[in-house]
Amino acid sequence: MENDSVTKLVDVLLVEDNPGDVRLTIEVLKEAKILNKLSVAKDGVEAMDFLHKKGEFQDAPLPDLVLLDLNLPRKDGREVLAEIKSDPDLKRIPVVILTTSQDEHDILKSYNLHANCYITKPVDLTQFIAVVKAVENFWVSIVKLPPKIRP
Amino acid sequence: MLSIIDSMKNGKSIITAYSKKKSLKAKRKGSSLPKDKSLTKLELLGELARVQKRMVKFENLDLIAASERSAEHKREEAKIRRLATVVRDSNDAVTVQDFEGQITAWNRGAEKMYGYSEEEALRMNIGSLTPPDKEAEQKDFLRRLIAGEKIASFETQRLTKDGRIFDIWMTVTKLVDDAGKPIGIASIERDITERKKEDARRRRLATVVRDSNDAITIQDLEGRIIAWNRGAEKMYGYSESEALQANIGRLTPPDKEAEQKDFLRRLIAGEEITSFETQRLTKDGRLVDVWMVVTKLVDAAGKVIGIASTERDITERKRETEEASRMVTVVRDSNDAITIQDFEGRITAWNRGAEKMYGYSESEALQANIGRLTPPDKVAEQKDFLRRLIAGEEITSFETQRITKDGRILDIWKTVTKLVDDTGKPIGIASTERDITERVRAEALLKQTLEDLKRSNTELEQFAYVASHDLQEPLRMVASYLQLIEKRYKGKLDSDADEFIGYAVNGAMRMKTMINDLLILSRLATRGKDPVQVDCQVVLSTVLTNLGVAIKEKNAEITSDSLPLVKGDETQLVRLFQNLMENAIKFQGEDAPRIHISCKPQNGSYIFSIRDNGIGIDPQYFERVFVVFQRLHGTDRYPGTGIGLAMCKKIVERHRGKIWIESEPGKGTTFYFTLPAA
Repeated sequence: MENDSVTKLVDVLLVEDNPGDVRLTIEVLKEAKILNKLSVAKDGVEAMDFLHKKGEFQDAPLPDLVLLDLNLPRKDGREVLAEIKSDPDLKRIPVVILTTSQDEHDILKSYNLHANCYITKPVDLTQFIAVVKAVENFWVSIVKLPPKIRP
Repeated sequence: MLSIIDSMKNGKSIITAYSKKKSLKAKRKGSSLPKDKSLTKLELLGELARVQKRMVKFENLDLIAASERSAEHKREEAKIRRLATVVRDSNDAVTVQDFEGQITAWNRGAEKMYGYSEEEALRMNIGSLTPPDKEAEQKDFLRRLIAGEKIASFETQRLTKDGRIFDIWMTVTKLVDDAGKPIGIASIERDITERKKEDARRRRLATVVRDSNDAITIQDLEGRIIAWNRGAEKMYGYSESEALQANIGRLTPPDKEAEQKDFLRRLIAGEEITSFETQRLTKDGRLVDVWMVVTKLVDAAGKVIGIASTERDITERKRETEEASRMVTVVRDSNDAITIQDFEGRITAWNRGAEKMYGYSESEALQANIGRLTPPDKVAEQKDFLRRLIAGEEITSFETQRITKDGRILDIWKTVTKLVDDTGKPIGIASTERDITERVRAEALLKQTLEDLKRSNTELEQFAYVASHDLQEPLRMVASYLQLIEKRYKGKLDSDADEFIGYAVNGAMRMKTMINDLLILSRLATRGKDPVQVDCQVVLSTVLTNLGVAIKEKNAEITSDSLPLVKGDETQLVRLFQNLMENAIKFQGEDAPRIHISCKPQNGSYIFSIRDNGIGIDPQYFERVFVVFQRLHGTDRYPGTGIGLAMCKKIVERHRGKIWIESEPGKGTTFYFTLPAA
């Protein structure tokens, strides 16, 4: 198993507008010693372009996992989630909501839009590292993901 | 002649006397004639001479006697003539009939009464005057009279020439000749049609008096009751026989005795008193308001001998009148404007409330049209209202506006009633108008305030949301990167740097907690659930689980009464109990924490208490501890954000309860709060 995960690189799309958070996530992945191919979209529109391989993202890989923040400029995370989950080509991609919001409404709404899981970013770094590790471990090593079907 | 006069003097009927006189004359004629025939001429001469001699002899004496006799005779004659005239001209019918019914005498009264002239009547039989249904009676009467029965007078009926039947009173006398043999019947007949009518009228009046619903009584001057009709029986409850033995005083209520005495005194003194209002006492002790109409009864000499009185029960009418006048007062003095208008809008009634409300006096209003009260922008509405009302639509009340004399616009609540005449035809509109300007203003203010409050609440919620996302984001950056620095560079910088980084991390962490707590507090109201039945026993066990680590750590002893079902939001109740118990454990005294939870019912709710043996609270801080971020101790000794009790207060208030404290420093604290029973 562990060998599989090491040899098999998983494409992860991080949709996050805050560069501090992007860097923090990268640093945490480093701390967690998890090696994955991480792409970043800075807002909802860019995320959808990436997923649809539009413009500069023509050669972008279809991610195996999306880490999605809810509060994003231009097109917010809820819309991105709704679009992914209603798109026949994208809906199988697991979407993990990774946000600061602890609002019950946000949680409920996200699951109603078929989010695969909802995680509130811990303020504490140690906890954050633990969470990211757990997510990576679960979605990359434990879960059997659907095969990538190219349109 | 003397015999006629004598018989007259003896009281025999005039007719009889008159008839006798006639028969006497006839007798004399008859007796003298044969004598003359039998005498010879010589004898006649001799006789004449004798007579002449006698005449001479008694000439002087005879002359005197004759003249005396003639005067006497003349007087008698005159008397008879007068009587005959009386008989002839009497308005009563005076007739004579023989026993075959043949009419033998007929006066002018009879002519007038029956329509037959004397000439006609004397050829007629009395039967012609007898109506068919009286023939038997007539025959019977004749039979009995002939048989010698004494029949003086009776009532019957007669038929006139023109076929009219009328009532008569008949007085009859059997006529006899000198030998005492009955020769006929004289009768005097009087037309009693009028008298009978009068009798009937009196009987009717008597019935009316007897059966009147008014009490009609007569009393003498001593107050003895001498007449008492059925109305009196009904009104006062005494039967006629009871009343006739009683004094009128029995009907006088104690407080009217003086009035009654005074009334009698004044009446006897001649004062004119016809009617007045007073009260009477019934047999069963009820007071009756009566309107009394009195009539003085006087004897022939004009002396007052009694009082007739008609008394009408006006209790009900008086009550109605009083009620009506009270209603009138209510309407007149009502603070509501009460007005009546006809369908042309002319004002026909205007009370004091209307005067006050609109500023027009009654006299001003009664000359005005209701349109004067209608503000320009309500004219169309008013017209439409009238049209619909006339069309028969049911409109009872609505809100509109009116303009006062001094130009102020009033909001009014108007209640209308269509007025109809006796035939059901609509004749106008009565309206009651209440000035609701203040209410409308207050309502508007309330609405405004409510809107402001809602907006302010929304803004607060918005703020909380902002705090949760937009403040946490930079906070997380600060905290995370500080920690990253700490992680990567600890021991690589100097010890000061390590200490500073430590404080910075700690501050960031505290701020995170405060923001989270503030968020929870602000969401208590906005994100609360509808109250359901909650088992406090379940709440307590949840709390014990949540606090398991702390309880174990501090070796706390927690006891509880059996807790009831309440109505509320379970999540919030868990938070309430948990915050209070957390405090009880946290603010530990010298001994291990001992906490007891008890509960007792009170007026459909429960009073809970959570008592601890902790450090206690100085009473001067009882209010302050419930204010958000207010702390009594440094965070180094007792960590916390100072928001826990503010949350408790908010939760209890959301459940329409109260929370309070009993405590003394060093002697533990008891928190009380109320929750509604399920």
